[in-house]
Amino acid sequence: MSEKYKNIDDLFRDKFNDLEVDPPAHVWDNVKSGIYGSGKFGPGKPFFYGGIMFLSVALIFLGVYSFLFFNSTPDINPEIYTANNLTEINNSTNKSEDNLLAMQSAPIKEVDVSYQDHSSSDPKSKGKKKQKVIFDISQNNNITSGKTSLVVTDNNNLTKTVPSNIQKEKDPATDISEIANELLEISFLKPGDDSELLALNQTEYEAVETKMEEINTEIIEEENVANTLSDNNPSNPEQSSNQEVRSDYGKKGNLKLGVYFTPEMIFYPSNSGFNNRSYSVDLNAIYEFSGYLIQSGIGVNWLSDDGNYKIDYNKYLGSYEDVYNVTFDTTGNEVIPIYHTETVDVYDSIDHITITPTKSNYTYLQIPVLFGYGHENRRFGWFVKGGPSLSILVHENIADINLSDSQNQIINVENELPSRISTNWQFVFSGGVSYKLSSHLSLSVEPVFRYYIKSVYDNTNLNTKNPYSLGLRAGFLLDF
Amino acid sequence: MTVDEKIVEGCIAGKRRAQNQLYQKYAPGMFGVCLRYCKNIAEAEDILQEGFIKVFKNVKKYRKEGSFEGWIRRIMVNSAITHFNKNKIHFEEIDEEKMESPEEAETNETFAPVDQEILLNLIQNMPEGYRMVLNLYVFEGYNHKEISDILNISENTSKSQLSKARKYLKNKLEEINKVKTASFAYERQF
Repeated sequence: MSEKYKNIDDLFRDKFNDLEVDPPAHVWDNVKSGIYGSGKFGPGKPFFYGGIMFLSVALIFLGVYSFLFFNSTPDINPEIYTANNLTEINNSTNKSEDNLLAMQSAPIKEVDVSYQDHSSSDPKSKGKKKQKVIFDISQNNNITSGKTSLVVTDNNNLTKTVPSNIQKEKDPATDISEIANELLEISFLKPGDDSELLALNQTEYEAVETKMEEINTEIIEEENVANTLSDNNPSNPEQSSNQEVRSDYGKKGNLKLGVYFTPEMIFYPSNSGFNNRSYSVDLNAIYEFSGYLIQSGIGVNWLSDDGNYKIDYNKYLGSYEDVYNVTFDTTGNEVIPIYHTETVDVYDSIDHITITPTKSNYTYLQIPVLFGYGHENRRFGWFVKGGPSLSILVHENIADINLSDSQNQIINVENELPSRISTNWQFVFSGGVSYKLSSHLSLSVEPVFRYYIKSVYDNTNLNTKNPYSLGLRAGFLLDF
Repeated sequence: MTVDEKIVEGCIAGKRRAQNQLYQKYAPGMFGVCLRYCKNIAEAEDILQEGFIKVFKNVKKYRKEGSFEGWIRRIMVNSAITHFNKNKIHFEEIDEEKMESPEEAETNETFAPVDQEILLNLIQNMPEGYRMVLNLYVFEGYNHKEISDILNISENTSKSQLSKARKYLKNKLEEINKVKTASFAYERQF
């Protein structure tokens, strides 16, 4: 105590340098309730990441299933085209009987051929779909009868003659090529056959005509089924009988309908405490033309704000009966006092403060207008797009104040989060890939970046301007 | 890895035990800081509570450049400043011409050591403006320019508040000394 201070600042510094006072226990309780939600095991985080994983796995399974489902049926299609063409060949041949033709010969031609014979009973031939066949092709132009016929001789010396619809004015080399293609589609070319096409005269055509009619009968029975299934065949639209498939070729614009699900994480660079997540479901129309695309539609966006209510309150201590009037009953022999009372609540005069975590839920309507560019190969496609998006607040569910003892007297409530504004604009940028599951259905996955043009909160003093979000949009595209 | 680093890592991972350890280790010291900035214990509890919530929510932002205790202390002081600004205390703006000669920290007089509790009581009973400027200048080491930016006041106002705070404390300490001297003389008589 002998030390004296000349400097008053030093006196205070020295005395308060090591000042330590144990705070009351309830402070730690309030701190614990205040930090609830932060940290590794905070609520919602496992669900968020788990949700993304679940969605990804579900989409992959759906994609694989759709791929297998839509690719299991078209095997019958080569035969469909065979049946159609064979009928057409016979019809056209009958019409050209009066033509005058000259006999020509052609060199050996090697052609890839693909077909499947469902009528064959030979088990060895089953499942053999593709092979190379060498044909010795000759065109029989019979001057006398006016018919053109092509004759196939197989290994068993069975000679079969097929009428051709090729006109004599055509270039001979082209004729042979087209005739070969037609021959490959004729159903009596059994898998495994090493057939030879020989040039024969018109008289031998009639010898095999009966055989041809038998084959036609078998094929026509399957034709009804085949015509129905041919609508789904995307592999060769030019040969398809389906007018819709044919019409895709040379079409300038293409309209698609997209259904998307988008989980997003919204970041506030100035204050990470505001970071939150959102989920959207969108229904968009996409118009594609010459690689460019315009996309717009409507969506619903759900998000929630985790905040705190700071509640100033006076603690309820109890109540007493206050006598505000006394009257006397003098009707009897004795004077009886009657006490008129009212219950008065008593509160602690010291202000108490508690901080309680809250969650407010919001629903927005989203209207994007996006412009982009993309390219699509046979199955895979890529695209980039961007544009403005308008969000309109359509519903909000603000959490009620939750005080442990409802009898406490609330003096003031301060919400950490201000209210949200009713509309806000964002710029949206995304780029992704698509995978064609079928001719009408595609799977699309795209990372999305969203930049908010101004703060979503209603307090201009709050330093939360220009948040941004990162998300993963996944969905299905329906091609019309 | 030091104990502090282990605690920080645990808090970043969201471990309750580490959070409790951090609080138990630093809460008494930080409560002492809060008490200096407040007029009563209840207000100090509020600031301590808000400060620790900020500490736990932002612990991952601690860059390990300075001491961890210093980082927590800055958060507490900032919470106190925020609390002070919320209460919207209006300072009397002082023109340079009207300014009295500043009360210097160093005087010809000497000050006998006083109990910590008495000094704390003196500070808590000071006008809020005096207390805030005195704390920022004497204990946190800010200069008047910085204080004027923090509290959104002029430099002259900051200087004036500090001068008045010193004068106030000096007068109070003199009163205490007088009482002490009288008491001592009284005891010696008997």
